[in-house]
Amino acid sequence: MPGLFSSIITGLSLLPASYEPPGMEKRGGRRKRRGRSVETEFASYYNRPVIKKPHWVWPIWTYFWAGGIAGGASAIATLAHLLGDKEADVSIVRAGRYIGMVGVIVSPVLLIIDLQRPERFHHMLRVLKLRSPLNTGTWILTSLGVLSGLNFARQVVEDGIIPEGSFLGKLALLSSNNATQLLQGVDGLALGTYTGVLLSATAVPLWANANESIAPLFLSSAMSTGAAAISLGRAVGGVEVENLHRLDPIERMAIISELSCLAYGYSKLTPEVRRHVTDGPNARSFLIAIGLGMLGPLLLQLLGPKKGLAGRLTSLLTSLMVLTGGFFLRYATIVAGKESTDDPDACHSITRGPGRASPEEQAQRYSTGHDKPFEAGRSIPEARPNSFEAAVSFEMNAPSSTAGSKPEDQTS
Amino acid sequence: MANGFFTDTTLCIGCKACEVACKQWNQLPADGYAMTGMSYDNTAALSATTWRHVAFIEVPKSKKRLPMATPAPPPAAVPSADGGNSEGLKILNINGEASLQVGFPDIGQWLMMSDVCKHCTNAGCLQACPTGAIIRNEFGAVYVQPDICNGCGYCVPSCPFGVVALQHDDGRAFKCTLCYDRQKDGLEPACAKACPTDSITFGNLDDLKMRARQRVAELHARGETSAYLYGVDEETEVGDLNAFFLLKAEPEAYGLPKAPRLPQDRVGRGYLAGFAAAAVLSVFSALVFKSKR
Ligand code: SF4
Ligand code: SF4
Ligand code: SF4
Repeated sequence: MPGLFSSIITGLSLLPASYEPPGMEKRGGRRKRRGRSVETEFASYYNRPVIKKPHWVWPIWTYFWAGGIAGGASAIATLAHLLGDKEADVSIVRAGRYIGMVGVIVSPVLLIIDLQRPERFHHMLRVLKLRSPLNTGTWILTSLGVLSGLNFARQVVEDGIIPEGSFLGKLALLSSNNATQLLQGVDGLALGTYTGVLLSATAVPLWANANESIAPLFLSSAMSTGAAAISLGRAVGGVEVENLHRLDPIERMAIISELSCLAYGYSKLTPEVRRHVTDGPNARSFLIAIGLGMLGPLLLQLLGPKKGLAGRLTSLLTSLMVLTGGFFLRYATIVAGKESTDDPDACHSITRGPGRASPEEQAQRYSTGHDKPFEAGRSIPEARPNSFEAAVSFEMNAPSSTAGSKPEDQTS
Repeated sequence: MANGFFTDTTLCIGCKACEVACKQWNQLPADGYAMTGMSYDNTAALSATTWRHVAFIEVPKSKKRLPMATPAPPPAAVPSADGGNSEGLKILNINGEASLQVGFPDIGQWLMMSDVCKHCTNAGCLQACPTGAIIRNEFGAVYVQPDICNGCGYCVPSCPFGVVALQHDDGRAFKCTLCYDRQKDGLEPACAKACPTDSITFGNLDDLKMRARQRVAELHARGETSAYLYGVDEETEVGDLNAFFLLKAEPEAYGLPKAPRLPQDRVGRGYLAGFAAAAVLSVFSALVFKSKR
């Protein structure tokens, strides 16, 4: 039987149509490289990808989403705690602290799941590298975990789950104050920002090209989803309807900020990169993110009812829409970015720029200043036992002032 | 003292000795028998188990638009091996009459290039690595320490040349080590040692750069006006490459970015833009909380 099976498989693989060389597969069955829609004067190496794509799948976009919610909720809870109404806004602080705590428990788990060597997670914390957003982000997440824990403990005591008089209760009240809450808020904003920086600081065409618009986009989305999560918690937790729409202006402002970041980022994309946003299944995900997560809630908040059961349901619905849209925003950005790495045109379109001298310029650069003609073959090193020994013994005259940018290399 | 490679693609004969030598020395597993269907290149790309990759670019004479940076020069006056016979191969029968004539295949020229990790001066992979697993070693090479790497995979999309990759059954990232072990013992890297034409030369970078500049000038003097150096003496964000190349076609034809960009140059601006948005939204939220309901 195994013999039959393998010969069937072998036979199938010999059919010409069944073989797709790696990296040249159909893109999700939709767009078979039907020529280049944008005329470029550049070749590529047999349409092979120029750079490699990240292996990131669902844990990463779920983490970006959950981390964003935790960060946004932390920031909003902090502002409500420090500046808000001491009675009406307590429910915001409470919901924010609970959501932040859940978020910082879920996020590291997702991040560790994504590692290919999860048991070495702590290696992330053996250095501090500000140029590496993933390293900085791990530190941010770790410190946010500690701070959220402290403030969460205080909330638990204030809610009477742990009695104030007990040892744990006293400890919790002692170890947190307004300063820890402030730090949690700042850390939450940092967590929302760094995920965007993490993406834009790669060679992936979509993320690199959208550049400085991804970090504010993800931060704004963190604020809107954080606010939505708090509103959801309060709507479910039975806060009175008049009070329920307290966070709506913040949500609206965050959504407007998201839309402007999207528009700015999109306007900066080269046509080759833009294709990966406007074509195919990713386009649908982006549309869901924008329609369901931004435009829909915006309209619903402005036009929907604010009072009674209808007001409560509207609040619930908008919150759910914003949360879903935020998830699709992370998903679409990551998946479309991964797809754009397979496209050599997209890669080349963002790495044109200045920076390479033409052959003629180089010829001029290297040949000026030689008063004696070249002897053919001199530059090809003779048989040598080991190229550690300097194989070059010819003299090279100092280049003229028009020559290359590194004269010190030639005078040595 | 930094060591590196000068890969002169005009000398490459596409024998893949470097690929094999690298696999053997570093005990890298085979990649299976997948055929790419493109040219002679079934290696396809650099990967976690392929640290040298010979690219084959077939440029037929009939091809309208050559991937050349400048038009190919007219054929040199040097007599070719077949004595300048352009008609092809004649097979004579026993009476000395031509019985069969085989035309030469339509091969204008071959461009072959042995690709490798560039060991960039400003290496995207090194700066991205959150564990500090990637370091610059005493020979100037960018080296992944396998006992530190935790397989986060962030270096993979951070390399502007698509070199480093995760090994899927192992989970860690691997790439060319510039034969750290051999260099420690005073030996040149296996690939350079095996290269029969010295297309790959290994040595001190200052020597190599001087030799490379000389070679470009020499090729131009001979009429090969499309030769140029890729990876040195250029103002790119990644800086000089410790493994640099002499190429004849535009970089894109070899799958190289024309002006590679350092991803980490975007970190500062990203945080700045993100924190600006954070400040605006925080101030707005503060006003909301301060306002009368
Ligand atoms: S070519 Fe890529 S993997 Fe090699 S040093 Fe440069 S950035 Fe790192
Ligand atoms: S996969 Fe390994 S080498 Fe690459 S960035 Fe992560 S820890 Fe560093
Ligand atoms: S230097 Fe060593 S590890 Fe790197 S490609 Fe050559 S043989 Fe392989």
